[in-house]
Amino acid sequence: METATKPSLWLRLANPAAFNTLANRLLWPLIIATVAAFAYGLYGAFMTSPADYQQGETVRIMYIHVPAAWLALFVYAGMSVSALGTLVFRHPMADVAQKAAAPLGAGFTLICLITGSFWGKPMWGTWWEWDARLTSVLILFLIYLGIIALWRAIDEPQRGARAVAILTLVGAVNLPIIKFSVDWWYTLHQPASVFRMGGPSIHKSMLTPLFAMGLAYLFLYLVLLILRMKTELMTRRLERLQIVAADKLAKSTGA
Amino acid sequence: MADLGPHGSYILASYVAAGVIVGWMILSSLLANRSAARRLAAMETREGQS
Repeated sequence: METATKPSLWLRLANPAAFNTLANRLLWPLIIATVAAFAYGLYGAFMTSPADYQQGETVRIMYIHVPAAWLALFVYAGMSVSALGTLVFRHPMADVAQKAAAPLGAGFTLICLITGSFWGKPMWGTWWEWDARLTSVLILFLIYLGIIALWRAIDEPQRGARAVAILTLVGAVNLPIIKFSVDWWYTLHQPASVFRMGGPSIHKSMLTPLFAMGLAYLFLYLVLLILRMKTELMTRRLERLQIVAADKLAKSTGA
Repeated sequence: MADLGPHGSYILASYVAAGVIVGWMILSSLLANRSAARRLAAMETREGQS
């Protein structure tokens, strides 16, 4: 006697309709969580957290700069997993996720670079320095732009997905360089103070709003990722329908 | 509201820049979604009629 086994979530999500159902369920709770986390994080950043004993009020830039850096790396790490999903597991949603994530990763990296510059000028006396941390984050931004450009340059989605997946995996070598650049080289940038051996070196009064802003960015990313994945699925369906319509037209006119 | 001190303009500028980029990410995602939904609905209607 045969027993029907329920497919895993991984397999079920290969079906765009199942993905859309799950996405629709998650979207509003994530939007509410995003607004709540931003409200709590920004209140903490300006109202409850103290000024730094060395940097003074300028430390408040940390609450938008550091979480943007976390997301810049997190999004790229997620894209690398998606690239493996495309190349190794051939999961049909992997390249959809990767294509949807790239502009968001670029956005968070740009926030990190610009707010870092606004932080650097009053603290270091310069807008930019070609040191290891800053340069490796700039390279990450350029890789994101390269991935977006490659998606646009290749019309055939499967070929494009494979090319982008390879580029993404090659670019992943930059992630540990960014993370450990402040340990490996002498840089202007301060060493890790949150995710480090021995625990965070930041006081709880600053750490709480910092994590709240990190969650706010994360929830925002998930909301926009879902929205962009739904958009990509619709675009692909539209392209298939256009091909079918063109075939029908060609047959009816005998072309 | 905290007094932002002598470097207040840098703090405000960084938050404005972050807000603009976040706003752009939200707006571009929403507009692309609306546009794709509208084009797909129009195509499906056309296909249904033919």
